[in-house]
Amino acid sequence: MSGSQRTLTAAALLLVAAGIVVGFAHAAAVRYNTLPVLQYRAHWTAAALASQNGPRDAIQAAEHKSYTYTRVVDAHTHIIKLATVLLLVALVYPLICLPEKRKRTLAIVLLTGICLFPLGVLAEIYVRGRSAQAVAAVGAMLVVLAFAGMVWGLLRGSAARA
Amino acid sequence: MSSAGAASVRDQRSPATRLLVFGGISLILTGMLLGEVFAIFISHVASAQIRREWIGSMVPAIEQHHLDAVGAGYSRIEELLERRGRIMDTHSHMIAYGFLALALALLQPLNKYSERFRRALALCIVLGGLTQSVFVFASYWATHQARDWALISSAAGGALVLFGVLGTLAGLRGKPLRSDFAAETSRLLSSASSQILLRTGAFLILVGMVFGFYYAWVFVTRQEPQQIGLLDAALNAAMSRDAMAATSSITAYRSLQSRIAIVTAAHSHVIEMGIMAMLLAFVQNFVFLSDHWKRRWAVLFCIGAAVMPICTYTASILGLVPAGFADAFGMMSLIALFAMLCGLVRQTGADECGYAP
Repeated sequence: MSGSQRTLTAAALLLVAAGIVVGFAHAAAVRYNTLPVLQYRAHWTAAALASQNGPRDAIQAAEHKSYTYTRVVDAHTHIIKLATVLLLVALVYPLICLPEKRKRTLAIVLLTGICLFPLGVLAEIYVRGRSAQAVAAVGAMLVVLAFAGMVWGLLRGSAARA
Repeated sequence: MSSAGAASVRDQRSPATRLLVFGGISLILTGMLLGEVFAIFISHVASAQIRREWIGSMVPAIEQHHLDAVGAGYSRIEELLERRGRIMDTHSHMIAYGFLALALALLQPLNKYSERFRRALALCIVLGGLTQSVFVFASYWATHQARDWALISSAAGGALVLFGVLGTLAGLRGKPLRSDFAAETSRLLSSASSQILLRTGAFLILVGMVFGFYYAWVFVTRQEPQQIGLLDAALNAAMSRDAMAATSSITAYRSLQSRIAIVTAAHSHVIEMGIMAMLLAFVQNFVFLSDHWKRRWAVLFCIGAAVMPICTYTASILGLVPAGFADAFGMMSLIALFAMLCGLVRQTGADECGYAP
């Protein structure tokens, strides 16, 4: 197993563990309620307050709750799913037919994107405006580009072996 | 077979690896089956029920300022959403744990711990995943007191999985035990069925990522901000006794929520099917079926895996007919997966009787 492969494997397992911990923390914070129920309550509260001309702060707080629940669950699922993809990339790494330097660059880009994307999603909860969304989008873009490069190398490799 | 090759076969057939492969595929199969049952028998009925509750009970109750009836309708909708949430959580967690178990099975040859400890870690992952998912599912039907215990048990299951993952990570530290891992990977993926699954899987994951990137923009800029506005419009209309406008806003609110759920499902399913195809590519060498049949099942799995998410997405535009096709193609992949599991069981039998190649 090469150094890059080992790094990717270790990073993937650490990310899986991090995803599980985020899931634990969220489940405990919302007392094990499910996302559809949490969103329903938040939507109802915001809409009911708005229709009764309730205080603007309370309406915004209810809206932000729904926004927060979606972001935390998104981060939890994406960390674990992207970690699984990273683990797969680590396993097929020797079969990717690209120069070693380019493969390593793609691996670094993929890992950076996988870390950046959920961090950006979580940052959207705390940072108003487009900056956190931009971080998440850049992270996602890095993941897509790096994975596309890896798939290209994998297809080249399997064509060469055939 | 060379001594390195014989060692790798021994590694791949060790009890810990077998436990992770069988446990992983069984968890995935159960999770997929639950998803199919939910999609065919529960989801559409529950959505119609929620819409009926809104239009038939909630809107008239709000119009008449009948607070008790509003409260009762609110609780019934919450109950239906709670059931949906628990089943979906069980479905997604079981499949995610199945993926994890299968992926960790492939890393077992590199784990430095003794066979006994590796088996214990494998047991933590499979049992933990099963416990977490089953108790999340059971918690919906449990009494109030039993529900607390069910949720504690589910958390304990999650902790077991976490322990299993960290234990495996610790076992991979230091200088690798095997220097021929790359050659072994190449050998594992050499069959035609493996190549079909590997290429299709990688392609599906990429398509799912690109689609997710596009859909995130649609969701954040258009769909997410509309939800509360539509519900607010419905409540305002109901309070001013405009039943027609209230019904129309509620229908739009529910349609938007269904569309979000369906498109999100299409995005996650295409990636999950891709991950599953890639993982199955690695175990084809241990499916004790003829090459011809292995290829057939691989093709069937890939057709189901590729078409099911397309039909799911189309259901968000055209309604129930493509949803039915999505269920049928999902079932196709499920049958192919079951066939591969049968092949793995045959391999185990052949190993024990000494017939295995």
